Amino acid sequence: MNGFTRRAALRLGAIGGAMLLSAALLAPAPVLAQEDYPSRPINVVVPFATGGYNDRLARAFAPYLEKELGQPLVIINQEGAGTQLGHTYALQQDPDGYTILCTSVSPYIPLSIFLQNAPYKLEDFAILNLPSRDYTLAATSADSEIESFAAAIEQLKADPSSLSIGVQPASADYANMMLTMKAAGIDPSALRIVTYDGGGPARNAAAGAQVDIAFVGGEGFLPLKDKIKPLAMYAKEAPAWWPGAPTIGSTGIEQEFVDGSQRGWVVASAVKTENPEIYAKILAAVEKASKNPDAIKALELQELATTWYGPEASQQAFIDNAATMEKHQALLKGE
Amino acid sequence: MRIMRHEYRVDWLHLAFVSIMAALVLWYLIDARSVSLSINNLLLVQPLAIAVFVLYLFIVPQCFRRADAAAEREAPAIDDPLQPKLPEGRALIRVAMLGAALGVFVFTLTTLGFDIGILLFALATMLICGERRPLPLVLYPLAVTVVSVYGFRALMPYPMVTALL
Amino acid sequence: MIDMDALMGAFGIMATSAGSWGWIVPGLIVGLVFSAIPGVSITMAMAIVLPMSLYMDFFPAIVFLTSVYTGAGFGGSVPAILMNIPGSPSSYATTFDGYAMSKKGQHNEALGYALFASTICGIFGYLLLLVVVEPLADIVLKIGPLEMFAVAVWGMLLIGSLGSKYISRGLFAAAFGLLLGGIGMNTAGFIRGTMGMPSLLDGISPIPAMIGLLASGQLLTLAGKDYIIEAEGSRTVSLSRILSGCWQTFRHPGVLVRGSVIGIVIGAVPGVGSSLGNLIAYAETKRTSKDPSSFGKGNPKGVIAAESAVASAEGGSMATMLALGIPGGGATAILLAAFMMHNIVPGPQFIETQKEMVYAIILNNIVQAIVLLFVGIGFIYVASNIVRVRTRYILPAILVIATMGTYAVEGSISGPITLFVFSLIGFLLVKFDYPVAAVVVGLLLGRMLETEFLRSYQLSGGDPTYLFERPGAMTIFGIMLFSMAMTAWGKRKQVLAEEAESAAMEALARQASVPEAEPGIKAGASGRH
Repeated sequence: MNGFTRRAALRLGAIGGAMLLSAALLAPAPVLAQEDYPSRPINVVVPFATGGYNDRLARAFAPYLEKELGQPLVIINQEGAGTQLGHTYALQQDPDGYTILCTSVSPYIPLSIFLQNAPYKLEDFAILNLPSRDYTLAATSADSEIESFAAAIEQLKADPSSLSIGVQPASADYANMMLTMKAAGIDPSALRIVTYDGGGPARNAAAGAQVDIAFVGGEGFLPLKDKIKPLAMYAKEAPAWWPGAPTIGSTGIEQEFVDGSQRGWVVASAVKTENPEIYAKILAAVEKASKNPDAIKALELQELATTWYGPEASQQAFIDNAATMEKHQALLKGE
Repeated sequence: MRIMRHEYRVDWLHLAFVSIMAALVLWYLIDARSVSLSINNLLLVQPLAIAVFVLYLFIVPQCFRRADAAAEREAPAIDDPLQPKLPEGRALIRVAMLGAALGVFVFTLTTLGFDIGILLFALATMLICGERRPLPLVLYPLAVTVVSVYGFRALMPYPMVTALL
Repeated sequence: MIDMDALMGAFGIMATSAGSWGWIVPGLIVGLVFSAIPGVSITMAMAIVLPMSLYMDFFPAIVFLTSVYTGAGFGGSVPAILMNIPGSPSSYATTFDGYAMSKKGQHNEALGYALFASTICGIFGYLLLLVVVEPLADIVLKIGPLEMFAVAVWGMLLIGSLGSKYISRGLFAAAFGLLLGGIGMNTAGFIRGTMGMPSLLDGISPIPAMIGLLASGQLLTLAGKDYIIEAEGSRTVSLSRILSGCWQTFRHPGVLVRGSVIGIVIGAVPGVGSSLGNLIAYAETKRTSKDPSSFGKGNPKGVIAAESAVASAEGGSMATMLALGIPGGGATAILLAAFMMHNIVPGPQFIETQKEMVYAIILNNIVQAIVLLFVGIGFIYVASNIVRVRTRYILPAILVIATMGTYAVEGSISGPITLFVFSLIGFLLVKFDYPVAAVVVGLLLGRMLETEFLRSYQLSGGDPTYLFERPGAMTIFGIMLFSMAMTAWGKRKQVLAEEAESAAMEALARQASVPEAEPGIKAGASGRH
């Protein structure tokens, strides 16, 4: 243990020195731990590149979580293979509470299991809290001739190739889109589907009228709000960040759908089973930090979520969503 | 080798190389086709793979040279950095040794720890490049190790396995 | 175009937050140092300094981060020129003539050319941005898959201008590189060629592969030499020669302007990244040049073309970020995050309501580019001392840094392993006279080429007349064909002129009937080709 602390201190010193800034600003003075855990910095694994939602969430929330845990957090970006590399990496670490995940559990954990044979199971993840929920939004460009979602569906019924559709293959958005087509009785093989390998490019394509309709996570559209027309949000009710959005229920189409993204804080289940006290400590810290008014204010400024749903409700939401995805596995595979 | 009353010189190494490359592309094409025959999958892969096979047919004859023509092949080498030339003789042995050392370094990096791996590799590189004085051989690899381990630890948002540092 | 009131307001912001000026130099130095280390990307550098900016006011924070960005735009060319290691794909084209100049002992001048091209075109890019920041946003969104495909094809044309002894081997290498670039999950979700390795799902990591391919032909061969530059007298570090390189950059205004325009346009398109602009700018400059054969052998115009496109791309991607709130690449994604931290959401509304701030940011970037001139000269003066160090000291350090850099790309050992595997492939390619550059270009562009081609196919439903609905794509293909035709015509004219000349000389020689003169004239005529 002693060696570890010295190493950590040196590392911090090196970071501080290299960037010519006072380490005191970055890392709040560690509170002396009453018991063993935590006695060294804790790694936060983000299975995405720097700059994405989870990365921003982790970096913005870290100062408040650090305060509760009494140790600095080190953000580790382990991107790649649709989060599979990062999730595998996090599960491989010792279940000693020194590895926390900040990730989009849905759709990525079920997707990597169902479609990429990822070497883990849904039960390997113990969800602490999933503050951020995103939903598929069907959108068209602001000056598009498409009046409403119902009108677009009617047009597609008459001629499935009359409108081009931008979507990310093997995604929750793709499943939602296919479920709509199924409900409307449209032959999906006749559709003109344009595939995008990320939400960003698909949104740009919708805003620039490259495609007629894009099905993609709604939150990312916020900066482009003026350039698009929302047609249908695949959510039970319009989310707080887009109050006026038409929900899929309001468009008159009855269908099942999955949540676009559920993002938040997770540890390996092994932590809960093997070190229940440590798990309880992390959970309490996340809860306290999530309810900290300063944290809520700071994250709101960056359009990041801190809502506290708690582990039970979060786990349930994740399991339910994964079950719906499993049910429609064939659609996800594009079969 | 004798074909059609002409003596041919065969560049077996080149033939093996280009054949392995073509075989890799063939495997890739088969792998891609086993995933799906949809145009969304094969649009670029299949035509490119076929192009590789056609070009392979053009390159194979270049591996066979008429023995009497072999002499004129050695045109004076022009120093074009976009067409780098490998050195010859002892220098080539050094390059090969350095390449081998790099391979050992890369594959033992995580087992030895980054600090030990870097130390040994820096030492080996200096020896290969001809350094024989003991003092630089001890001090310089140590300096490289310390600077790179601490430097990269500060730069990277990733952990790094080390044995001592 | 330029809102004068807002411009005055912008000067006001810059004057009142005088403290922000102090962040320019530290930001530039951080950017230069980080980007000069192969594998450590601009994005990583900015992600690490991002938390600091939380504790700063908005304008100083943005000044600091954009200074890092500006510095990083040039830093990559230093290892490219001195050691032939492109720190990132965006400095690949800089190695072609930059390293060739170094080998001739003109490393001082080469770095000077690169620095001036980089700063002048950076300034030019931002000046243009000041004028077109608003309309640009709409144009960028109108760029669709077919236009992007056209641009990618344009990038591939570089291979044709690289020149190779055997055309068949060049094409073979290019096709092989393109196939390598398409390994992993394609945009339609099909997974090919990964051999079941999850780390290959996103494709072969381009930076380790590129460094590996180039290493065996260049870096490892240094083991056989005592110094990077063989001639002892050339191993000098001279401020006056750096400055003369800087100064002579002005003698090529055409190259600068062309590089800048290519860089801005390509930089503005989200998702293309900076790896394409430098290749196109280099290829176009070489093709339109009077002496294309001198490129790749240390023609300063090659360095200027590549660097001008890299630097001006910064302005382009900044424009997209400000005007649309869309990051063009990783670095602008971090900038975007920094804006958000200060409760400012870039996008159309931001441009309309906060024009003063937008102008202030752009103007400050121009100031940064000017400061970079001075900081950069100091930086290259220090860095170029590497030519005076024996390879037995350089090689261990550089190989360790390069290997660690490839580890830093993804934080996994797959980076260094990719480096090694590709250095073996590179060794064999060089041994059997295959152009390594063709594989590198194919690898860098393969994914984009397939993605955009596929989307164009999906959008059009396979109907080739779709091209005629896309005036943008038609224009790009048109310019491309025109430029190629002009080159071919120019070459033909040159050849005809030379033939006529030599025929006239021969006739003259025959008239004079001096038999001894003939071989000499023939040699002279053929020497001109």
